[in-house]
Amino acid sequence: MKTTFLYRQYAEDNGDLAELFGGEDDIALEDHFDRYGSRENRGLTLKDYVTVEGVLASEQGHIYISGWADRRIVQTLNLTIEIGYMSYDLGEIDPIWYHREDVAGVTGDTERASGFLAILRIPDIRLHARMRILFNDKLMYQNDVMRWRSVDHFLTEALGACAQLADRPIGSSLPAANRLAEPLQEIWQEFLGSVSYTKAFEHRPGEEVDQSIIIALYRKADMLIPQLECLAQTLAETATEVIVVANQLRGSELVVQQLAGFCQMHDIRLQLYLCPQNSGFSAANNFGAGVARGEVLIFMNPDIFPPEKAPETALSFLTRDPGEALVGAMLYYGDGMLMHSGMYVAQDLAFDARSGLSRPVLRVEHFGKGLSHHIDDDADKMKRAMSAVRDHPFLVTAALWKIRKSVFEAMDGLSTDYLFAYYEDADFCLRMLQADRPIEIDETARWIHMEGVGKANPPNVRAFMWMNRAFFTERFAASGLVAPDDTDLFLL
Amino acid sequence: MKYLTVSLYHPRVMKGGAQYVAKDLHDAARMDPGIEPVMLAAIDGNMFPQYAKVGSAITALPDSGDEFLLPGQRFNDFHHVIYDARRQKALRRFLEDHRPDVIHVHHSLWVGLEFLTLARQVLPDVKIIYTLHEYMAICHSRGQLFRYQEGGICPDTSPDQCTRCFPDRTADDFILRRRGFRRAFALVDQFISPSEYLRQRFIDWGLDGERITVIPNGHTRKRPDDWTPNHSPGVNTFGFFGQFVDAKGIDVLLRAAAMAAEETEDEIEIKVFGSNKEYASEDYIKKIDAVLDNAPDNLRITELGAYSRDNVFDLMTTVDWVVTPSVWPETFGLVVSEAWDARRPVIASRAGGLTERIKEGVNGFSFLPGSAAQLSSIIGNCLGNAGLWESMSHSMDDEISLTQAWTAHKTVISAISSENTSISA
Repeated sequence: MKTTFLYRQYAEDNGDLAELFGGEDDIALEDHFDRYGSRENRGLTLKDYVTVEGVLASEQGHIYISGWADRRIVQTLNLTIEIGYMSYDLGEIDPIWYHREDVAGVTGDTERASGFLAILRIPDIRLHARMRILFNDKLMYQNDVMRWRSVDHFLTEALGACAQLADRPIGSSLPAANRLAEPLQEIWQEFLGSVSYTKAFEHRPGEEVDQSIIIALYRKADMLIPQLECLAQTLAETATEVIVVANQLRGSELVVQQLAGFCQMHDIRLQLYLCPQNSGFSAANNFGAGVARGEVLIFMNPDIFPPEKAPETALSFLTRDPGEALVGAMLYYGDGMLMHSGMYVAQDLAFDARSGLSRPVLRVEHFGKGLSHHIDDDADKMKRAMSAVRDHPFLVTAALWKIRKSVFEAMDGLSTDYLFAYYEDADFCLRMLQADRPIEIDETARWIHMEGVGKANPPNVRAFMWMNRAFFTERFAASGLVAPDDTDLFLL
Repeated sequence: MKYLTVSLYHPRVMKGGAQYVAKDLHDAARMDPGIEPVMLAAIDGNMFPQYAKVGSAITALPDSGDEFLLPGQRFNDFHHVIYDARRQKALRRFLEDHRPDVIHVHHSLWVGLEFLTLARQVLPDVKIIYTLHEYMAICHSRGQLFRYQEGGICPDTSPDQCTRCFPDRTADDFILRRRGFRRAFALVDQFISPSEYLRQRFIDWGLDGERITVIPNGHTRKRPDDWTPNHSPGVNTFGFFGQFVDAKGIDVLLRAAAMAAEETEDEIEIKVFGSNKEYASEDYIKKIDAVLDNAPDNLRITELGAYSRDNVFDLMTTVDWVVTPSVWPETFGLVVSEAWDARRPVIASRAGGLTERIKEGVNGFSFLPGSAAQLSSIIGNCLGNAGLWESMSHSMDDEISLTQAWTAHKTVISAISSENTSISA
């Protein structure tokens, strides 16, 4: 077979080269093609082989970009972003590549991952209306009215866009989660550094209290008044304060009015702090702990209630000193069935036959969740069930737990490394165990957790749950605190 | 005895069954020499801004010495609470000033369940009675126990079943809602139910049967003493009186009338006295229009608009038979009392409290809710049947009078005041 470089065609297609080399210098033209022309995708319409599909940008210069490419033709992606009259050359980027069946069906390449996704940063960005994105000096995307998102908005939307990865089997997506951790963590920490909490309501300020109940809300406060109604008598009769820390609360004016009316009728100590953005579960609770006056902190989700019948024993949980331990409570669904009697960390193998990946990934499980133990079961029946699990590495949920403030502070509070929510309570428990601090569950404290039925999580939530799981795995896979297989497979 | 009535609306602000009952009892109490009555009517201040004075939580009803309005600006219609500090401050003062011995609560809508807590805080020894006018505590769907999406009476009020009507809410939401009502209701000394059916539904829901007394809503007779009932020449006029809304079953009546008209050459006339048509669903109106479009020639249907208790007696004399085709479980059925007052036999669906009021062939007839076929058969039997009409018209009893109802309430009050909680109707 004879192979020939079509130098005349090359010169004809590329006027700059014809001008430089003329049309007959076959050696110079072939040399140019080998050194530059191939990589610069000369002679083809690049948009036929690489496409930018998604672009998000923050006012702080965070850029999310996604699309697809036929990597046999487009081997490198040199990225230039033009914003108004400024050009930012980000050089060759190394995006996360993932398989896309829809693209493979068109390009015919089922071997190489064609979908790409990258989160980048342009420091000291100068905002303008127009944004142009160029790959390999070719214009791929133009928006003449760019919308620049606040950092929290960008983070939420970028996470939502990453759900396309989060929704995949963990084996194929775990490396991507690890890759995304760094840029997303950077944005998250930067965002957390900017959030603030404003006191919006206070009743009976400055009084000495023994314990502080911290309730972190996100957006909704629809269960707050019913919850306070159930707690009101205990709150009024004991030295207990309630600190509500609300992230991105809707209708905050109305909530303040309701709380004022409530406290007028029920003389309880209560503070409400508002964060205009979603600072997440850890930061909100850590803030609540910081302003708490009680020596004992009680973390309580807004959907936690004492049982309707004979609530006294459950309520007494609030005023008993946990000592040096982190103490959780038994939680039951609204229908009375068991929801939480302790948790453990299990381990799966994340695998991906295509890439050859096979490595552990952690999962947090509840002992006996959904099992037919009922909130009204007698103590003996519960004791028998609990005896099977009590000696295992034992975690409790922050949906309702109590801890001395001094212990909480010694543990540096809840980790804010996790995006928004999930896994931070398991993280705290594992760090407690690593520090040889005790974790207990008070079997007499039986509470209702109106966790409800699982509704489909929005894309951003699926994405940060996935990210947090990957991060939790990184942090604790080698901790020695993962439950053995028989616990996971057989122990309820 | 100082007797405070707390109602939803006042008939002068907005007409409606529950407020009529509340006002009637308030008026009856006023006529009782031993009673000093006060009435406080909670209203939606947004809907009736003319009654809501800026910054004033409680206002007097003009030209009334013992009737007051409590206009609210917001209301949580799921949990039935308000928690408004300014309003509560005024309410506290109102209770302290009037110091009622008995508070008779007629509703939670725009009153707020926390009112019961406040009343107990201000007046720990006050006796609280609470009339259950409909199923509001059990059912978030307008308190009707009617499944609009299925078109039938709700037989099972478990929280998971409530999500059928409200798919955006969870069973937990309804567990909490029920809990809030139960907590507030624990502060009530005695409940009043206008029917045994309603009482039973609340027992099934969790109230102790001993705490619910059945007292039918008292009726003030409009019929003159020397008045003789007459029927139309053809004894062929059937009347509907009520709201023109889905659960009232006007469509069932019209379908039944059309079926009956197909079976006879005699003329059948249907008169519809209905209000609030604007609240009827589009589907419901379509159903009715379909019947009207295909009505046989011998079926005459006339829509005559709204009526009031002031002219209902006269209007009822323009029909021979009164039909209450409700498909929701009526708690009582004021219209039945009004029909009996006008000596009109009632043809009622066996829905809720209507069932126990109808004595077959004596004061009316009954049929399965929604069954146009059964109703058609009854219409056919009644049509032109002057003998039947005469016998029923002259043998039916009136509903208990307002005086009797007030006396029954006093018996309840007396019983709870002496801590006797075992009260029978």
